[in-house]
Amino acid sequence: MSQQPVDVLIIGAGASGAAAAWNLVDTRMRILCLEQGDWMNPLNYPSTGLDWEARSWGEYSVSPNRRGLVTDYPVNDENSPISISNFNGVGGGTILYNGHFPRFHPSDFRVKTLDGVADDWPIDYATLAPFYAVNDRITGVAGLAGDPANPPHADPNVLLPPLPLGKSAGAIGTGFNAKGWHWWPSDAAIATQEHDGRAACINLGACLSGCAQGAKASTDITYWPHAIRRGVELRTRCRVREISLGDDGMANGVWYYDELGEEQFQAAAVVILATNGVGTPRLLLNSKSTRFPDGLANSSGLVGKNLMFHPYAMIRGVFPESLDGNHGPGACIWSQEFYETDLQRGFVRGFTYEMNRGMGPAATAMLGLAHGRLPWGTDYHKHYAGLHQRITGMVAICEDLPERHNTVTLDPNLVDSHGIPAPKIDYTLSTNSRKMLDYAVARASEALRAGGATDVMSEAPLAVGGWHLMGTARMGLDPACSVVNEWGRAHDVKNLFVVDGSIFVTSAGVNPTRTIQALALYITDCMKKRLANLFD
Amino acid sequence: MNDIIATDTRSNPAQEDLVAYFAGAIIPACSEQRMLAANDPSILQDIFNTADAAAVNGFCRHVEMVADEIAGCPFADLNEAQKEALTRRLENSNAANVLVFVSIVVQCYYRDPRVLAALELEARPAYPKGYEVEKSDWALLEPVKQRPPFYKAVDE
Repeated sequence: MSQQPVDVLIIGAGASGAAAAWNLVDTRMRILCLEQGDWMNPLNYPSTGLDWEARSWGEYSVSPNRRGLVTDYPVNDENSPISISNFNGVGGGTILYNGHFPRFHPSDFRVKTLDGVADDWPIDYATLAPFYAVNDRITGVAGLAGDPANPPHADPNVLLPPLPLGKSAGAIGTGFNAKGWHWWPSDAAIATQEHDGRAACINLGACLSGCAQGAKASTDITYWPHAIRRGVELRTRCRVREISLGDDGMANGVWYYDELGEEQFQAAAVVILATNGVGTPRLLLNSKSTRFPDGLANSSGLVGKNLMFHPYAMIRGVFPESLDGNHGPGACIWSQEFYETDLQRGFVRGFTYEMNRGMGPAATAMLGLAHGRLPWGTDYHKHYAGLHQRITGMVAICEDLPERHNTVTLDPNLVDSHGIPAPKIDYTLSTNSRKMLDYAVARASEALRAGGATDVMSEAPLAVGGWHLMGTARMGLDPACSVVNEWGRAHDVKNLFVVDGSIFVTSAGVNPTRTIQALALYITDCMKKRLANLFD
Repeated sequence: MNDIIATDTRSNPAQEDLVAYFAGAIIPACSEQRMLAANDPSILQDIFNTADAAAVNGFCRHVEMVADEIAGCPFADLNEAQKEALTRRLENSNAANVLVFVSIVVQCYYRDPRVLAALELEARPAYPKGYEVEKSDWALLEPVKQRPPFYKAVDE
């Protein structure tokens, strides 16, 4: 294994690291990516066995604390009503995501101007639009052009056919039609026909625990094969401890532990962080020096501040007829009827409904037991029959606004298997989010009942719903109020870049992966255009 | 036949009796719907293979604690009415040891091929055959297609 200096060192092989590596490859620079996890073998994914539900709650759980794999690091999230979800491996969070793939709206970049809250982004929708298009081409996005709730796709011809509605989305669409509310086939990072050598979706129904078919666009099978074929080196089981700073104030490499647990130094001319909204502040805060005693690139004091999730509301309806069960991808349709601010609702900003189709038999039982619909004992089976394959519903993805007291810090006691201090989460649900969640539950319940549901169950906030980790190294023009500039370069360290969700200024009310990847492509494009004076 | 050898056994006979009792108390058999009980021998063996020692010990400890509160005696000495009262207590409990146990029972129950067959589900992995999903009725979308664009325009 070579320890020769590299031109570009990317930390993290997930959604953004993969896109960044791929986009820089044509510079002919020497590019290395260090990833703490492994390559995935799709034939090991849970949907290859009858025990798929049990495995999806264990070794494929979205919670790193529950998985507890050697490739994971622990997270102290006891002081948060929402626990952290992630995945550590080539592909990162895209291994376990649902593939729900919305874009930001133009208004999402202007919340201060429009609503007087939080801050505007230093870039706008038009800046990212061409990078959304590139990302869609590599990813393979199913969808339907013409959604009145969204700007037109830059190139609707690249869209793959939409995902099937099935009985579940049909029932929900009927309910939303009855209310006169918007719904539309979701843009989804799922190949509905062969795309770039990947096979089409066959409705395995286990997107959230890895796609054995390879239809879901996790970056281990989208960007990475292309990047590696063109010369990028990807080293797995390499956990970075800290970024090293030279006497000139520039990052000069990283200290990491290799697959044997040996400490290594990797020199680099440029360092790119792609380790998500918890991993990135953790690494910066662990990289202390005389020049940066409070953590690297932290002169603003904002590294780890302004943590945003998307508080989720989960709303499920029980229908009198049999629906799809767990067959088919969870992603199917969305509604953005309540996306923009309407002050009569009692809160600012808004949310997206992401419909989730149905669930498997064990998840049905767990939901029924948790919500008092399944009694223990004699009547168990009678009540179970009323739930079996009859449940469908949605989650509301609520825009979270940045608040400085929501933080990622270093836990004083908890460490990972290499002894590196682990992240600690302190998060409080805001009053605005609480009102938004309640509103979302109420409207979804109305729509489900209008579609024929005879019973509705809900949970808000969804305790396990910390999938989207944003805001902890925010982007901005003013070095006093942000960590990176408008093209992702740290204000304090001119060869250090961040391309993951931690640079988000606001969260919008949509799943962030498509925008994270568009940002990674945009930032690396900016780097390519400035190669001659990248550090000025 | 199972793949656990005697020296691997992680629970004692009293714990095994207790686990069997509560697996069957949560999900009993139902002849009318041709459903097995969760303490069917094969499912019970799966439960023991799946649950780690901490889960079994934690649940059994919790049950004995509640038994002591109810009757001041071990679970094995409770009469039927007391066992029923204890079961209702556990059913309404949010104790982590109980929730973990219930989750294991449910996971093991709903992956037994006989249970899946009784639910008219194919007892096979999803991959590689996959499943069919009903064809879409896109006529449902017509009312939405009639709406003009309503995303908020921003001067950029």
